[in-house]
Amino acid sequence: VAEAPEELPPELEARLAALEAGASGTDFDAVSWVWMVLFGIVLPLALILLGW
Amino acid sequence: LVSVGEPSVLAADENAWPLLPSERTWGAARLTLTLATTAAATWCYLIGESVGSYLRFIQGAMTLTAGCFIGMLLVLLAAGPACVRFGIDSVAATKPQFGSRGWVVPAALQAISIIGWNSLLIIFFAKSAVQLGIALGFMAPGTSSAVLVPLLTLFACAVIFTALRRGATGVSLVSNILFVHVFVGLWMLYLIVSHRWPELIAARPALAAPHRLWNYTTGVELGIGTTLSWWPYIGAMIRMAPNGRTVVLPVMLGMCLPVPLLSLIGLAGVLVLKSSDPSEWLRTVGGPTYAIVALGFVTAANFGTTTAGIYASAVGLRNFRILQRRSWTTLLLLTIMPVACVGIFIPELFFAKFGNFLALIGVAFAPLCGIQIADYFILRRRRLDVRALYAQGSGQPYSFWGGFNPAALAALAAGCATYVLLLNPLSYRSSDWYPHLTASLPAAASAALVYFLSGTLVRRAGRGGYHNP
Repeated sequence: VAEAPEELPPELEARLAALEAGASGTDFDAVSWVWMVLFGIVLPLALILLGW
Repeated sequence: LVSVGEPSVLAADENAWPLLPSERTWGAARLTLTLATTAAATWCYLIGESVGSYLRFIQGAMTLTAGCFIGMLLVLLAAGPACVRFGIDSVAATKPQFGSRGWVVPAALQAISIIGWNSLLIIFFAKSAVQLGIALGFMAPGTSSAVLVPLLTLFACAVIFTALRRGATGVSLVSNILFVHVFVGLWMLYLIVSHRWPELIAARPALAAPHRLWNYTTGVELGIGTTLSWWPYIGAMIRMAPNGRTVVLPVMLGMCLPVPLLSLIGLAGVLVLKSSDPSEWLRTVGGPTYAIVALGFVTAANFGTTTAGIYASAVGLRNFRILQRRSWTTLLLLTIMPVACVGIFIPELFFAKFGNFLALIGVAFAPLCGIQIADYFILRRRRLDVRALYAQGSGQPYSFWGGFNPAALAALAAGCATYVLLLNPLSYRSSDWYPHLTASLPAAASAALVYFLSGTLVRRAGRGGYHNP
């Protein structure tokens, strides 16, 4: 049996309402993925090969 | 650690509530600076020492840097999306995986990690203060630190406790000195490299195993473990940025890159002078004046980082409902006491076992990252319910069963077991597969796989809010 959710503090409630209304940010776009692949995969592989 | 002055933002910060886009005003430059001052502390010297035990200078530098970037990518993919989308911290971002009560598991891991790092820093502070006293002529050369380090640790804890009882005032100002430490560190690196280059290149690691690949992989593994331990810190800072694109380069260049760079000091120190602590070898390499200037900065940086870390840890305790109504003084005591105990009773043992501490970080945080990545990118297809992050009671999207998601707990156990089977973090005994795979990466992958398979069953059972829009 589901319980009724506990009442949230008014300020938290206002923040959640704003985020649900579309005010949230965005995660990674295409440029972000390029940088992540470059620094997180390509560069480490190159360093590992160079160091060996 | 937020230094924005608006009361509502401060309330959101101290209560771990989400930040609104209008409050998330940090650009790439400010984020880079903040991340760099957090990551580039003097713990880097010990990280370098750990690598220098197994690898020569060039190999150590390459593998450590590579490992740091790999670990940083895992952390960014795991904690980053939820933190930058909703302005929440790392622990809040685990509620969709671990549940509305199960998040205490990653919160406990966070607490252990931060206590460990703070203990390390406060011991380092005491050691560098002893060396500064010797350099200034207050103590005789060769003075034993066996008694002084515990006493100085106790003194530092008392000062930090007294300062932080008044809240965060001044903490951010103290933190600013840490950025200067990056340049002092690079200068120290220049000193040892320029003065001792032939010895540095010829130096052989003391604990190198006969198997070359094992040593090489261990360098990568130590790098991965190092940046995996930034998981507890990263959310609190990247949530101040408005979107994912703003955080990627600051995280990679500000939070990750300074760590292997400063670790080279410890790596070079342990290879050439048999000590990673520049406070011990600066007088030999640079002379007394250089030593006093650099030691002053190192001592202040250690003290400042510890103060900021203990403040962040104490604020983090507010996440626990049982502690929400406790006084600030109680939270501070709960945070400082474990740090003080380590610094007073087992400082040398903790220093000596630092490599094991890093491995234990990998045991815990690699699977955690795998679970978060599998959940966000595969099972939930980047959909999260921000209200469910804060909703309590059964029947809520992230309440699973009694607030715990068995899929996450099983995946965490599987990931930890995978790590330990590949590399025992205490003895450093390893399986035949370890030199080819590392331990952290298979641990993250196995946790992700187990979470995906068991999470599919959870989704079919209608739990976890997977069907919500």
